Amino acid sequence: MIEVLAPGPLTTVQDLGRRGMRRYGVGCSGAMDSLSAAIANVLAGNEADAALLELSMPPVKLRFSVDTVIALTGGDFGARLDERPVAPWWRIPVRAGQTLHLQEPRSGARVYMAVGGGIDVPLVMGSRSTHLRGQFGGFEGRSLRKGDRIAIRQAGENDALLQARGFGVRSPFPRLGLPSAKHAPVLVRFMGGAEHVSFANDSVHSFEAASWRITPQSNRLGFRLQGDVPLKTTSKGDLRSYGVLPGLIQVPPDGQPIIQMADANVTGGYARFGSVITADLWRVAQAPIGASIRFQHVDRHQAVEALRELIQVTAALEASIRRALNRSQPASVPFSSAPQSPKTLP
Amino acid sequence: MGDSGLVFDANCAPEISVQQCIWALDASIQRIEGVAETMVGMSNLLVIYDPLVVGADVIASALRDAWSKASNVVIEGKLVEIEVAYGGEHGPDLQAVAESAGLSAQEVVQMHSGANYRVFAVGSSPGFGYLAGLPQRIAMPRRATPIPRAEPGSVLIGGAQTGVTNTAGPTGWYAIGRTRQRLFDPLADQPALLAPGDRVKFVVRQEQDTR
Repeated sequence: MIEVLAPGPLTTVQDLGRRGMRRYGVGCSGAMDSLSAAIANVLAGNEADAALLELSMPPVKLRFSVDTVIALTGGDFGARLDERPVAPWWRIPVRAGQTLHLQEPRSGARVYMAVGGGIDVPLVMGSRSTHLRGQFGGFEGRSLRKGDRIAIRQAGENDALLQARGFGVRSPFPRLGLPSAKHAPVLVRFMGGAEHVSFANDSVHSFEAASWRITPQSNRLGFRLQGDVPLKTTSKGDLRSYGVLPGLIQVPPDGQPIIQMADANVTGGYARFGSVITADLWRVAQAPIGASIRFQHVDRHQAVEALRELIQVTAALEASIRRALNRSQPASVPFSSAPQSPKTLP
Repeated sequence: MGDSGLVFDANCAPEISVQQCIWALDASIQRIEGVAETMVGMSNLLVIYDPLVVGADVIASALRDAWSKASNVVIEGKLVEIEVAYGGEHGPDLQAVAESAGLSAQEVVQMHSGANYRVFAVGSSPGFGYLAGLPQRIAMPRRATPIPRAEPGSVLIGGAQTGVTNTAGPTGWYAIGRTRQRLFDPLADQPALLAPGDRVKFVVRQEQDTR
């Protein structure tokens, strides 16, 4: 069991999302940053799409009632297991009675905590993800509350692994080109959309030239952006409802764009300016409220190549973690000696 | 739509004859390798595919090909009767719709429950059916600013469409009544009661029946 001592404002159970349920009006949900979620699971010895926790803001405090192993990826919320710091992209054994405390947002916007065996919640419509609006899936269809006790599927870890010290991997973010300077705008690639041509020419130009601030109205449904100069569309009136995919950049009448995210409704009606490419969705997900986004136009070929690269980087990282886990004594690095610079696996 | 979706748009007003072709297109495009999922819209269809398995050009030509053959497929659909308690606490916006239409609340109820509706698409939120067939007289432009919450089971009017919301959430539509019937159950084999092509009748439930 994991006991929730402090839930944070939005901690949910997610996996890699629901597929094939749009015909019932049910979208994908799932981890906003599926790259980090998959790596957290593999570090914890799970399949990439096991159920795990998505933390969107500290402080979060969790107490473990069993021996297990956990892995943290994604952002850095200053995690400590009891008093010892735990670096992001790190896997560590946990003893019954220990407390994991994530105290301050240092970088990124979402932390993933996987646990050996995965979070034990039922499959609903093919996924363990929380559907917040529908109030189903995940843990009782809602975000976690103080006092919740979350079950863990059997922690399939042998004693050797539990006793081994933790180890980590280098964050894949720098390699995939996320700007690392703290206040630099996040660069995100996009493709044009169905109504792209109906936007005034200067709007198309200014969309790429401007910085777009992520407003506090941003959440798992979508990121509402604000720029100095609103986009002007030449199309008139409500559009006929159409299917929506996460990444879609919509422009409502006020001219301030919205990026649809994991919990987006399955249909929409606002003008479609374009779409964030699939390979960059995790980048948007890790951009905190108040940060700025800059957009760079790419064509379909470039978008597909970026996706191919992301999948290759993820697969290579997963394979190296699995190789290390399959050795009886993993390549262990004492985290007390180098918590901020984990050694890359061979 | 991005690198993993293509929208086929018939580019015309949603009429039953067009929508029937969209449903047929939806059925036939599922056979293409690499197609993951589809979403029927109002006279359009979103095809979600794996771009590492199949190219956008293949999907596009399959859509064009299927559209040219899709013209005569008719889905009869099932008839779904939905009991509605109109007005009062169940439909706080009934009066506003009546005033906008220049009718009495009773006349709005008669027109809404007297019409025959077709489910053109299922979407927006879980199990929500976009129903066509709303009498033009009681159509109501969407709110400029959405309200934060409509109760589950609310019967709504938005533009020339009507529908029943199954989950609590914000809406730009107007609530004229409420049903106790569950149109969505995530644990059921068929989670959504309504499917494209279904026929819907609203039946007036008297206030005193409410428990």
